[in-house]
Amino acid sequence: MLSYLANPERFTRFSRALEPVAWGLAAAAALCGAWAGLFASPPDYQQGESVRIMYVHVPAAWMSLFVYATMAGAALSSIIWRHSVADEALRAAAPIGAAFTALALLTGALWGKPTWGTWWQWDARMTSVLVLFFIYVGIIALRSAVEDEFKAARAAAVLTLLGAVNLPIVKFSVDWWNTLHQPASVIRADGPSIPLSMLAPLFAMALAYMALYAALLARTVRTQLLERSLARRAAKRAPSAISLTPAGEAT
Amino acid sequence: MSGFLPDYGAHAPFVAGAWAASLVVIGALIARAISYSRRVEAEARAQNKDGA
Repeated sequence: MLSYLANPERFTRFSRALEPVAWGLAAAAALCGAWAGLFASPPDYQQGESVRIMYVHVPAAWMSLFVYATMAGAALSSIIWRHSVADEALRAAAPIGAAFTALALLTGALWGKPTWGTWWQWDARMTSVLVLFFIYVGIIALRSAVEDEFKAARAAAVLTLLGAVNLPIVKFSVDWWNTLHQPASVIRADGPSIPLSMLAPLFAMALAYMALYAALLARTVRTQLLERSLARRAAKRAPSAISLTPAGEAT
Repeated sequence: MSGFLPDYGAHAPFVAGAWAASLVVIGALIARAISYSRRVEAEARAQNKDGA
């Protein structure tokens, strides 16, 4: 599948087919998630009504890790097979991942104030997610700071792979250190410890974010590939910038 | 019920703030992707016209 999509023309065709399905799924899941999260689900016995923030906070936090994992996969493909689509996927995904991470941090602060009595604590989970946000920003900055397209893609891929070390730290920080965050309550060996009435909006919003990511990625990568081919065509058409004087000196 | 949302008591501003922040961030991501693709597609059309 990945090698099939590594061809820019095939990817463009695939993304055109995928995009409307992904937009539709994202809209439908977001509507169901919002209705279930804001109206149908009960308040939590400890958190009260602030549990409704969890339905946007937890999926955003999941996406911050998922987007980075897909970027690490793209970085690996870019380094090993030098696929241009992988380069473009990494470039397109970084701002989306940064936005989801910022959203996780912001909604986390909005949940923390009424529940813990503080907007921010330097606990292991929050600090490692903040580091993840800085890694995203670093990748975006590095990609746009290097002028040579090939070198920029290579540098961003290497930084992405180095930054992937942070993923298990974010995931397992609640088990390795004493943190304010509770241990895993959804993805557990013995099943979720959350009732279905709360799991339903959580999964609906997670599906909405996932479909939104697919739609945004498909559209942005397709556009970047088009922009790249336009730049190549323009460079071919442009007359040479260097003209020679009769004496043969460059002007 | 009070207004559009149910009465979330003292937690109402935090719940509304979190959902509004999600809407803003998601809206910004969508607007950015659409405006970028429209700009590049317009560029492609212009280039095709010049080349024709």
